[in-house]
Amino acid sequence: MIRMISKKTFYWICLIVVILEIVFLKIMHLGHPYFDFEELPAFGAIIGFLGTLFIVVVAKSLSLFITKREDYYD
Amino acid sequence: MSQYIALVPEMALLALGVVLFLYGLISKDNKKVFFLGILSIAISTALALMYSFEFSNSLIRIDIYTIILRLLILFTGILILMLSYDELTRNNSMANEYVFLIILALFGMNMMIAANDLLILYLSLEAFSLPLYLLAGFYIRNKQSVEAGLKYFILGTVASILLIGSIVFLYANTGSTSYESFAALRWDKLSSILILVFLLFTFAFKLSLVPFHAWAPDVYQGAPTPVTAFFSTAPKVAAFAVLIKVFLVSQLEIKPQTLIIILSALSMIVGNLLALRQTNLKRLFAYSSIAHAGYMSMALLLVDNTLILSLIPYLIAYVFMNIGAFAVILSISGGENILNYRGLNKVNSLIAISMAIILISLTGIPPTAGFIVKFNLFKNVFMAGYQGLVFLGLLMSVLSAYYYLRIVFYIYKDVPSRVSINKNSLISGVALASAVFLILSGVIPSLLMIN
Amino acid sequence: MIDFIHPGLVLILAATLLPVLPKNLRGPYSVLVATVGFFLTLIAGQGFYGSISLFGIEISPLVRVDKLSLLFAYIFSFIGLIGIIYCYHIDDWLQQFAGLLYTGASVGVSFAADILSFYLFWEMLSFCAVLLIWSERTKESTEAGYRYILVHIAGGLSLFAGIMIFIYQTGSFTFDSFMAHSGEPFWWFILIGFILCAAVPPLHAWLPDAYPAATIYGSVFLNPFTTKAAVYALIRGFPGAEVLIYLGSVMAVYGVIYALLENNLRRLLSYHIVSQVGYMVAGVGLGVITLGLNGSASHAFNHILYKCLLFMSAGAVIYATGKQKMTELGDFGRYAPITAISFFVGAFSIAGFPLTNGFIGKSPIISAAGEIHNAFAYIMLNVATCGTIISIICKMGYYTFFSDKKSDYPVRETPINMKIAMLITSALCILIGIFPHAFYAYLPFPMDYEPYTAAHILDTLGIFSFTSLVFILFLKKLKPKPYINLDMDWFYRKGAVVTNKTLDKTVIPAEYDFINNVWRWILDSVVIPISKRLTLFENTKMNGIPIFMSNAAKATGDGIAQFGSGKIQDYAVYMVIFMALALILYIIL
Repeated sequence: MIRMISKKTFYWICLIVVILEIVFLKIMHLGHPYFDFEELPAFGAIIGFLGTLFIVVVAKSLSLFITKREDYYD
Repeated sequence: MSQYIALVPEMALLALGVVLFLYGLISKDNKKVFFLGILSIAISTALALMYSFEFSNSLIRIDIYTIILRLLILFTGILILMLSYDELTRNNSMANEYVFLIILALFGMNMMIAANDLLILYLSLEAFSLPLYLLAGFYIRNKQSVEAGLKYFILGTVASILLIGSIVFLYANTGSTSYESFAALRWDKLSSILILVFLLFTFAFKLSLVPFHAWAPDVYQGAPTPVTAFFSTAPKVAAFAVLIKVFLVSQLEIKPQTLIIILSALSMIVGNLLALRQTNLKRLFAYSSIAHAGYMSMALLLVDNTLILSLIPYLIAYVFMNIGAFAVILSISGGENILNYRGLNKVNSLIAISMAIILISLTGIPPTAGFIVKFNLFKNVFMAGYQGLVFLGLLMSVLSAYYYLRIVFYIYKDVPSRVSINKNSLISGVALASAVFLILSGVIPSLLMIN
Repeated sequence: MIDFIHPGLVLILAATLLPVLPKNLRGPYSVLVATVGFFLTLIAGQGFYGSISLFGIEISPLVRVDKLSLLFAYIFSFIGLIGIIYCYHIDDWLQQFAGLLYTGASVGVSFAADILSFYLFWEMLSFCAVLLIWSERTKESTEAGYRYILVHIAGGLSLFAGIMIFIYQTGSFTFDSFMAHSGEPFWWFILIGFILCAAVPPLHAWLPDAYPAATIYGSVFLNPFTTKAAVYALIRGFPGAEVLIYLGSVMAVYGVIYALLENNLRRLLSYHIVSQVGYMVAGVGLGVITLGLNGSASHAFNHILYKCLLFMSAGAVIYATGKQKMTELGDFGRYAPITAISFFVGAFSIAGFPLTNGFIGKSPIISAAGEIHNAFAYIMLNVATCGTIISIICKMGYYTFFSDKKSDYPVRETPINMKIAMLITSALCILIGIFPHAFYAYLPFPMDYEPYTAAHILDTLGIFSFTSLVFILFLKKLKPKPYINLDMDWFYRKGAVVTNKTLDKTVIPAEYDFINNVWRWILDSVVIPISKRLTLFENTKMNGIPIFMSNAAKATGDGIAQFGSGKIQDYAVYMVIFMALALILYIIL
């Protein structure tokens, strides 16, 4: 499934989602945000990107310390 | 309401018994007679369940505990017939008479516990004693059996005479033979003492309390094994029922306390001490039942409702323990000899574990019914202020562990076994069912503790 | 007519029959029992039942059936049924037995109204779990099982201490909110007992340690019960405890970070339990408004469904191939489409894609964080969603079912009952996702909440697409590697080794060189001489007493036996003499 969608199509999907978010939420004001930072344009995309980056970076840096060979405990 | 309605179960039992006897004379089919015998008792049990209401008039008095004990006696009868089936149909042509005598004895006992008048009591006592004399000597070609029957008869007659004496004195004193007239007795006259003492001795004989026990071991050993099982259970239930009624229901103000203590203490001591050295299991259980009668008669010292609450659970557990034990004895060939139990576990572990549970229960070790009822009884007697007697009972219980558990050691001994089992699933079923009941009610005491 | 039959007790009692049944009847019988249990839960009416008198204290009621406990009892008994169907084909009664018992105990936990019976069922949970872990019967699972039981005994003791202090202080046996005693010692003890079972870091390491060690059927049972029973206990006992918000938020992110690094399928899923339970714990903390509690309950309910689905499909992969590491799998989707579809239904649900039950389940929690303006929880829970997507859909899904085949594994056909169990659960995941309001009606508190708003859907789609974008960018970096990752269990696993070594170096030499010599001297010169004297004394003097007593008993017995002559005239004489004596006694007195 993932192989069937080429990388280019996928970038298009991302772009459409960003546009939809800006159109519906920023221009048509369909949402009612709880916090100020949610007012940012395309908040979902931003938190998705930054959050994942955060997790990947933390995980990768953490793995420098905690990743061991499989027979570590033996 | 008529007294006849209250007595429907007993009368139905008698009528069915007579019809069955006539039928047996004609048909000569032992197996069918046995089956019909069990059926008649079962019908009577069903009737007793249906007609279980309280009733009283001058001759008959049926209380709630009478109803329970009546069912217990009938149930014992069913179990006894199940146990006898094998032995009696195999090589004896007198099965018909046997079943009739058992039914007659059950009828007599149930009448006796329903009685509210000494004359009814006497009549029904004789009505069940006479069949029992015959049953004790049932194997007429066996010298031991006949001797047992004769001994039981002669000594039993003495007991009957004592009861007559008691009735006579009561009538002379109060002009009535009803239980209610016991309430008027006072300690100041020798004759009123005699009434109670004679009555107590009569039932001490039936309960084989020391020193009225001497017949018991000989008779137990001599009688056919199912009959021994019957002797050790049903008549004791009936006798205790009568004593409960006389001591409690008739609001007796005076009680022969000293005498009860002596009888109870002597029974516990002599029963347990003599059981120590027996190698014949029937004789061993004779002494053991003397000891248990001793424990139970402790309860007669109690004056209020605790008498019923401690005695009835004990009786129920006792019936199951003894019938289960005799079922095991019957299901092993040569089961009378303790040596024949060596390595039983290897041959049939189900019977072995049943016997172990029954013996543990008889000793009074948790988690069995034997512990629950014994604890309950001792606690109540202790609270009533007879600490010394309870202490003696505990001491004797410890002593009893020796001879009961010795059998368990034999069963689980690791030796090449030569035990042979009688292939009768009915008998081993009774043993197993008793063991299961004992464990169950040991874990869930509310099964026994009827309020 | 009994108005309430306790389904938990029925399950527990019926399970004890299982071992004695013939082999081919055990599967059908356990399905029947689980069905009866589920049915009894369905017909249970709300109310309070039962009472017991214990040591003179009247405890009443024993059973509480309200909307909260019913919701949990429904899902526990249902998932027990699904698990039993899943393991229908196996020839190991121990697992079916433990599964039924586990289900019964969980239902018992959710129905318990007094704290003592609650504790009883609670401890039963750990016992069943260990049975399931040990049924794998390998060295690793045995060790993991021991570690599991040790950790849970510690937690259970803390809980027990808390309960005892609670009973002593308040005199009450009712299990209800403890928030009135917030901050008291027993409050903390009970809370620690609960959050240990909810696997809140740093008390969580038992979960990813033990669950992958169980059998594949065992992990289906293990996953829903213990942690979710703990969530139930938290909702009941600690609604709105603020500390839980922060614990839960951190926990949600902590779980996914570890999950991202994992290589073992079931270990990855276990870290996801930690993460998902984090949402629920945070929801309990947000429970000052009922939306948070409702969110926790609904998330727990839905989590059990999709998490079991994930464990079942992971189990199907392991069953089919015998491999459980992503570095040895790959391209499995072509061999088992049903397994793959079930897995992706579960994966999209856990990530919270719209139209799945994960979406409608956790939305109330995140909204509750917004409602009470807790930005920390709000952001952390959203970040955890990103982590869930990248680790489970992208990493586990891609490297297990697509990607290249990394080793030449065999493929076995999956049994039909496993497929049935997976398909039923998948269907439920989607149905609840499409009809959220039908499900919301069963939540403990009334609520007016609409998960499908434009903002919510679009935010979720944004998160999904951009998370996948990051995954595509880091595709090479995130490739699973055959390594393990250390976690809090390092402290007690290595700690035990280090302690032993330290003892070897310090205490043992001291013992051998010094204490042993002193001891030997004491024995040689003091104890043995004295005991010899005592033995001598005992042999010569004391032994006489028991021998004398037994001889006395024997002699008395023999003496009395003389009277049993067998002659009837003797017997009659004894009777008459005794009667005469008795009469004389009474006349004199």
